[in-house]
Amino acid sequence: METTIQILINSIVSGLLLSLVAIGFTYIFQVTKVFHLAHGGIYVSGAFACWWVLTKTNNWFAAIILSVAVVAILIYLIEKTIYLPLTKKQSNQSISLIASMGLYVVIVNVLALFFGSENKIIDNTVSGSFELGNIILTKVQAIQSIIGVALIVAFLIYLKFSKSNLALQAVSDNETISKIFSINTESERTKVFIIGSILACIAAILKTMETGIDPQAGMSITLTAAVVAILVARLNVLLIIAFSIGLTILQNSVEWFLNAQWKEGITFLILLLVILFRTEGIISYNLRKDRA
Amino acid sequence: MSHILNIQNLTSGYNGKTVLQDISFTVGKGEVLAIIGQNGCGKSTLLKTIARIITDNKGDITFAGVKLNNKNTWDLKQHGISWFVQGGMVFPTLKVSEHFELALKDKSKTEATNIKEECLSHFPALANRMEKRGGNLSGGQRQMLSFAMLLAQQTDCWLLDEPTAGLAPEAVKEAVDFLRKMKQEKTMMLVEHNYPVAFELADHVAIIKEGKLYDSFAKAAFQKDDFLNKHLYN
Repeated sequence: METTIQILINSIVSGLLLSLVAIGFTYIFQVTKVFHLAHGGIYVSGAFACWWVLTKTNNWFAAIILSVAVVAILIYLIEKTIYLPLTKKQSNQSISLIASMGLYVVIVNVLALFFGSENKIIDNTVSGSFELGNIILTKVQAIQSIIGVALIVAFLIYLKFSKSNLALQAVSDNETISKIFSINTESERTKVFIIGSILACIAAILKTMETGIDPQAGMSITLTAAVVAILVARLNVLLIIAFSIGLTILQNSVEWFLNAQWKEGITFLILLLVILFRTEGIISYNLRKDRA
Repeated sequence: MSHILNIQNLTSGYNGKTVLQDISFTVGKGEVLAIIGQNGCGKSTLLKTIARIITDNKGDITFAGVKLNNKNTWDLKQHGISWFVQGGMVFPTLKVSEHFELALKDKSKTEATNIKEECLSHFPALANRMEKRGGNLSGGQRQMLSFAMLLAQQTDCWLLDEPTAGLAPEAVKEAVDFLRKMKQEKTMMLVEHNYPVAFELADHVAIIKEGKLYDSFAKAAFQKDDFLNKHLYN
């Protein structure tokens, strides 16, 4: 029983971090139609920027501000010089996917070139834990949970007060018609790229506090976030969180009760089944097939 | 009649291919200009260029004294132009009520309520379908919602790209009735393959052939029986 509760606690914390990455990936994919695998490169860039500033200054505030600035500028340049021109040329969606994979590889190689490929540990990370019997919640996990929930709440508040979700949903449905409704689609694209990248950056920093970071660390979490995006297939933050936590519980259970090698295998097996039997995602709008 | 839309030496196309060549014409305020021509002659390209969907063009597009060449599609509403996209202006996953919310997002609450009531007075059947998603409406209902969205924009000039395409005869009649009512207060450019509809609504007809403006006529001329044979199919 205690093992089950421990797996549940660990999964909820990890699932919260995954949901930060998955919210960004889903919004970017739904709004821009770019299958943004370079999200993994953005993820590690943020973590490396934070680690680098901490090694130089030991100042968390400066490290977080600089990391956020780095990912915001990086994704802004990527959108304006690569993704948006490809969209304007009405390129096939597979072209932007290949461009995104290319970008991921370039980012990872540049980071490895400057900082090396070995795992980087943040030295002054928080230690200690809260214990209840044999159930443990580390202080890092507590920080991850608090900041993760705070960020999600902040994002929900932003969506509510800016009334952005309706505009983003419209752009996701049909970019051309959205323009007729006076929606500046280019600005909406830039916003989702930047906000999504900032969420991924904070998730990466929180994860780095626990396990450190290496240049390759972004792909696994991005692929899992991509699975969540395909399963959910709509702009609904709470569903994305629920699916992220659910998927993490499943992964951790498989790791504990079967074998760690099955962890990602089971994730993609679910994806294959959904693609085969519920192509429109698990929670679809149930639209007429001739109009969806 | 004063000219409100002025197209001068417009050359336009996409993917490096020229579709329209050196077209010039004007549309008077309150006038309905029907653009007709065979498939692929450039009618929709003309509307898309004015609507700034296609921006790879030469020549000038001026509306009410404002040059539109450097404007974006999302700026057009504030300049008084709306574009009715072929196939309608419906978002599949948004509810009918959300379409209104989106179309009226920059209006005050009172203004939004008044405009919505005006739209529903033209299309009362939409009132019972507010919770239905665009993707679950029938063809006729989608058309009603599209016209309601056009009306909600409160613009002076409508660019209409085949507004009756794919509709059942009753729905075509409803569409024509609505556009006939609206022509009292709007300037319209109408691309329409249904020639009886085009001729019924238009004050002028312009014919495009192979990307060039072949000819244009006032209403009296195109009411003659041999109009199509003489000018369109030759």
